[in-house]
Amino acid sequence: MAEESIYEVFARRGAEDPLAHVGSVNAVNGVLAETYARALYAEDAPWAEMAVIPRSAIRLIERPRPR
Amino acid sequence: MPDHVSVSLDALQASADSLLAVGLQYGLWVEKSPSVEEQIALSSMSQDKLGHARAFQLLVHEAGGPDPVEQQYDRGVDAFRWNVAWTAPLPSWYHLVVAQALFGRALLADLQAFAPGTRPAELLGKIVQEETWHTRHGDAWLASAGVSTGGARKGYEQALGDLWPYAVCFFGVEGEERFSEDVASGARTQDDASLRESFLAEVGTVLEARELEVPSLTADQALVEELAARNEESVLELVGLLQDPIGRAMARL
Repeated sequence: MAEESIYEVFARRGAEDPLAHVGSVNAVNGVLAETYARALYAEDAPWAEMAVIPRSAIRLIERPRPR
Repeated sequence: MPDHVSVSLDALQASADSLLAVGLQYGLWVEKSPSVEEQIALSSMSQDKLGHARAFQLLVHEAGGPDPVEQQYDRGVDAFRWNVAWTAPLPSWYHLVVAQALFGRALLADLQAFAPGTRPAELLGKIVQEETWHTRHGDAWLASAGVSTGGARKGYEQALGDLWPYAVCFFGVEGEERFSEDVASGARTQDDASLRESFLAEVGTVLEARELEVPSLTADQALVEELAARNEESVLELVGLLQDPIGRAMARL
C-alpha cells in the first residue's frame, strides 16, 4: 500500500481560543488524515476549527538544543 | 404535529436494513484494519451507521412496522430488505474501501431521494454529514489506487471487478421501480432510472480519474439473482452476528 506520512493535528475550541497542537496521525494522504483526525480527536467534543498539516510541510525555525 | 408525506414501510425497512448491514460490515473489519488510525476511524463509522439504522428502525415502528428489537432479532434471513450491495462478500481491505467509495455515494443519493416533508428527510442533516465523511474515506483510499503499482493496484482492480456488478444493481433492475408507490405519491423525488443514471455518471468520472476500468453491464433480474446467490454466506454471517442468542436474550431484559 502507499507510504504513510505523519500529519500534525491542530484545533481550537472556540473562535477566540488559540489554535493548539492536539496530536498527530499517520496517513497515506490528506483526506485520510482528515478522517483519522476527526475520528481520534473530534468524536467526543466539537471543535470550532480543526486542521491537519503534513509534518514535512512544517519549516522548523528553532531546533531544540541537546541537553 | 405537522402533516407528513407518508413513506412506504418497504422503503423505510430497506433503508434501516441497509444501514444495519453496512454498520455490521464495517464492524467486522475493525480488528483487521491496516493501522490503529483505521481501527478507530472504522469503529467510529460503524457506530455512526448503526445509529442511523436505529433511527430508521424507529421510523419503521412509527409507520406500523415491528419494533426495533423485533426487527433486529426476530426476523428470518429472508425478511431483511437490505440492498444486495451491502451484503456482498468483502474478503480484503481493497474490497471494503472500494465498496465504501462506490456504494457510499449510492446510499447518499438513495437517502437524499426522500422528499422534503417526509419523516426520513427530517433525519437527514446529521446522517448526510456523516455519510459524506464515510464516502470520502473510501474515495481517499481509491485515490491511492491511481498511484499504486504491483500488488496494491491488482488488489484494487480485483475488488472493483468483484463489486462493480453490485454497483450497477444498486438501484434495482432496469425497467422496474423499487419503491413505485413512493415515487407516485411524491415521497421520493427521483425514480430509480434517474438515480442510476446520475450515480453511474459520477462513478464513471471518479474511476476514469484513477485509470480504473469497468465492464459494461445491465442491471437485470438474472444478475440480481446471481449476486444474491453470491451473498448467501455473507448474509448468514451478518444475521448470525445480529441474532447471537446472548444478544437476543439481553435485548429482552
